[in-house]
Amino acid sequence: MLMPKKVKHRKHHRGRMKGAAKGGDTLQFADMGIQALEPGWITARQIEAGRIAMTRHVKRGGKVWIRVFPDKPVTVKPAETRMGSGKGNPERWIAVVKPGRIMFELGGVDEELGRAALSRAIQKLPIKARIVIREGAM
Amino acid sequence: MEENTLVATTGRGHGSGPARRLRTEEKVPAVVYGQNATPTSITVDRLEFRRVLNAAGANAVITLDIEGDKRLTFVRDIQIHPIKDTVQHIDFLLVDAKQRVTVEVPIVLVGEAVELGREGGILEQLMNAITVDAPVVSIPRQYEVDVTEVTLDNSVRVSDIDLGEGVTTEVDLEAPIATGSISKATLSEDLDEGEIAEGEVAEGDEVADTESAED
Repeated sequence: MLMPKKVKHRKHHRGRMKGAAKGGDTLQFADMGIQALEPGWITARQIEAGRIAMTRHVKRGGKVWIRVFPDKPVTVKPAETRMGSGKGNPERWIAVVKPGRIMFELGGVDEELGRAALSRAIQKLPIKARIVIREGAM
Repeated sequence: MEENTLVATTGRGHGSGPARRLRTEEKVPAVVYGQNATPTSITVDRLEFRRVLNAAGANAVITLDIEGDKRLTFVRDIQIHPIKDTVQHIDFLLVDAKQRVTVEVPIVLVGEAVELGREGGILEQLMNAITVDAPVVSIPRQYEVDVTEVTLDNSVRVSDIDLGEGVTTEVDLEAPIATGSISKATLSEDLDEGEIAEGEVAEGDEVADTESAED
């Protein structure tokens, strides 16, 4: 799964997810991709599940680009622990996604197969997303 | 030179509120600047702008009729909403008919790389647009690049494009536009098939491990 090699700070604040994506909202590498329609936290496991869903569906010939990276640690306190005593332990890594962000791109496949593969990847994500296709490419 | 005229009005309010109200009325806030003129805030009709752009392309020279004053411009920048895909704001650059401008011209791939398909590779477009320096009156609308000859060893490069008369580029002529590649998934699948053929045993766990190790 994707995670940073080393970090400056082990624990982060949760933050806010206001507004739309400021960048990464256009297709860069392939002719089709998945665009987020609402803000959310995408875990490294969900990214991996989406990637596997796509690569298994296209079988061979396709190429997948992952455009988000889970660089934010999420901490969790152990079960049945009293409040206080500091922040919990880092449990998983997430990518903060805002509306408009292209999360995956898929190339080297025809439109029908590509749409089916991307739909399967969307099923693995916790937010609403849509398939985007480069104008005039298909 | 084709005549693409767009009527613009001045005197719009500034800030997000007035801009939002304009967009609901099917208008687009814009600015026109260049040639040492004072930047002017203008408003253009959204559908009219789309008609002109569809007819002439993104790099077309547009005659802007700013309340009777006709000026030659071309679209420097368009801000598009990331979700709604609507035009939010346009930058028009005032130009002279004799002037040269630096623009991005889209590259469109044509043809089918049959040989690459036989090799099991996929066609990858590495460059979607090329920055060129061209006279205002003859900015190419797009470049069509034939990819029928592309194989795993043979790419299409910038030097293969016929830029057109008077058009130059600072992009490296050896830079690839489209190339053939084999994905890691295909490579590992080929490897798996080889292993299965040798051992004649395929376990689900092993396949899953191989797939999770991709990328």
